[in-house]
Amino acid sequence: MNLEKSLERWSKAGLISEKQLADIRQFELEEPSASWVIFGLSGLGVSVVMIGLISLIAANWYEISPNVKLIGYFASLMMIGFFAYKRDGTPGVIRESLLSAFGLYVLAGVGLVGQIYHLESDGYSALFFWLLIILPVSLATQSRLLNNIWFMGFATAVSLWVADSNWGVYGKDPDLSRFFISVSLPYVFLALGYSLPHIVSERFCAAARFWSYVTLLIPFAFAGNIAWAHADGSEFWDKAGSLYLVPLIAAVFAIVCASFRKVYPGKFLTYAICVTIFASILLSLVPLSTPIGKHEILGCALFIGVWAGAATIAAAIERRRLFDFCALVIGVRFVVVYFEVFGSLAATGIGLIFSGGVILGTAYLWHKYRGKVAKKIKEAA
Amino acid sequence: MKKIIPALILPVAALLIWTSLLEFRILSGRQIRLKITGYDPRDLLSGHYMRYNLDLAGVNPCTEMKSGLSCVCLSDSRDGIHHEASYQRECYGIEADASCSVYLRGSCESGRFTTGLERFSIPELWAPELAILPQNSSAAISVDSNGIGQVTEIFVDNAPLENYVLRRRSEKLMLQPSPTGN
Repeated sequence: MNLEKSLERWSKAGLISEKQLADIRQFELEEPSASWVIFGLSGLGVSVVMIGLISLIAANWYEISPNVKLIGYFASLMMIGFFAYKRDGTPGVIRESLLSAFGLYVLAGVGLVGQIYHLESDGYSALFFWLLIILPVSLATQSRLLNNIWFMGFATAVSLWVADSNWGVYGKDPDLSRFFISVSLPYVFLALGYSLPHIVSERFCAAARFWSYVTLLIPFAFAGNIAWAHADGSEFWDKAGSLYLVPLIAAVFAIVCASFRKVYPGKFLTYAICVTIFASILLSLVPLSTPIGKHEILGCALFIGVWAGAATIAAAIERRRLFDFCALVIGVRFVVVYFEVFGSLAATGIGLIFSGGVILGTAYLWHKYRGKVAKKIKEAA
Repeated sequence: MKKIIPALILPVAALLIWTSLLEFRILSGRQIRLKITGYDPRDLLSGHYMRYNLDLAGVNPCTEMKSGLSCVCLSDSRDGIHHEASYQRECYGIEADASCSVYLRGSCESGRFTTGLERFSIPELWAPELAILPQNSSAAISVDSNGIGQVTEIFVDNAPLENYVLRRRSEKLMLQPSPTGN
């Protein structure tokens, strides 16, 4: 449907001839591309089948002997692996489903062995083990889904690892080394994502870059904004000592690797990446490391700066939807600022009307000028 | 495409090796039994598991050491299968200690000695009967030459846990009033 609308627009604008329009329509009819609907439905179908199988087995689980469970598991794992191997060269829904199922089935196997042998686990050890043994599959395949699953698993494992270091335990000092190592990880993966695409899998590196930015933009940026408004980092500073250098060195490493990257080359993009990384360090690390005091405005400015950097990067690499999303977050943050400053006025009818007008006006201006902004960034890049 | 073959084989091989090592530890280890005491009958966050403490007869390696590795030497059995802790010592060089033929390796966390053996998987259906850890419960453990153990079964009064659950259920059925009210 979107393609049809686009073809109509291009035809009216004289960009393509009638013959080209007809040729494109004919081509798409003969080789339709997979849509997100197909991916979604297939994923749902696979999930429902798996849930049915699991329910059937679960209902009689403790009647099955451990040896039968293990033999059945390994036989089915090898079968899924075989089919995944057969389909690996053919991109599409089936390949994505098989490789993802294989990866998740390995995780299920880790849990199964733990249950059969009554193993004690802190949660993250099993996840790290799974991540390690499934990493070669992620690196070897062109599957996007499996690589994203890997990074989601990694984020979960690191979160559990940090949470296990006495945070909130009365009378105990938390293990700050885990905290600072976890803070430096997005920068490390950003560096690897920019420096290794031609050596290891481009899909894996793309996922590394994506999840690093997601971590910097969402949990780090939001926590940093709150910390700038409320935190006093002097106590943290006394206990952490030289641990602050860990994320700083990681961020510098990321900047260096981004500067010498081969993927999406260009000076403007390099500046945008470096500024975004630098702003994220100021946003997330400074309020925890210095007794600089509470500076809401500076925190807000840094938050907007980080997201503006991300929007610039998205525009430079022609990711229109990401650019729009980043712009939306910036817009919402401006609206929040407005309500923080003039919040009491919104309690009145006039105040609400005025506030609504501001929001609508902002939306209109953005709609009118976003294309030009994105185009200017792309030209500069 | 060919590089995916070893990548797909690796996790299968890793799981097979891991399972084999665990099974080997059970088959080749020394079989002991230790009393267990209640701690948290069901660990809801970890699914269907019993959690308990190993009864080390008052030997606590962690009174002075708040954290770190520690070992507990087990006394010889009185009736052929039961053991209890006799003393604790550092794990370094323990293999050469002739008076310590069987020992358990563990770690101290917050003053508590844990060996990784304090958990046992149970079916959810057994939960009502196991809301409280039964008295005279013991854990059958296979211990290898490095002091690392593997729980194989839980016993109640020398009978496997499943027998205890079935006995409790039949007792409950007998206590229930009949439908006619007699």
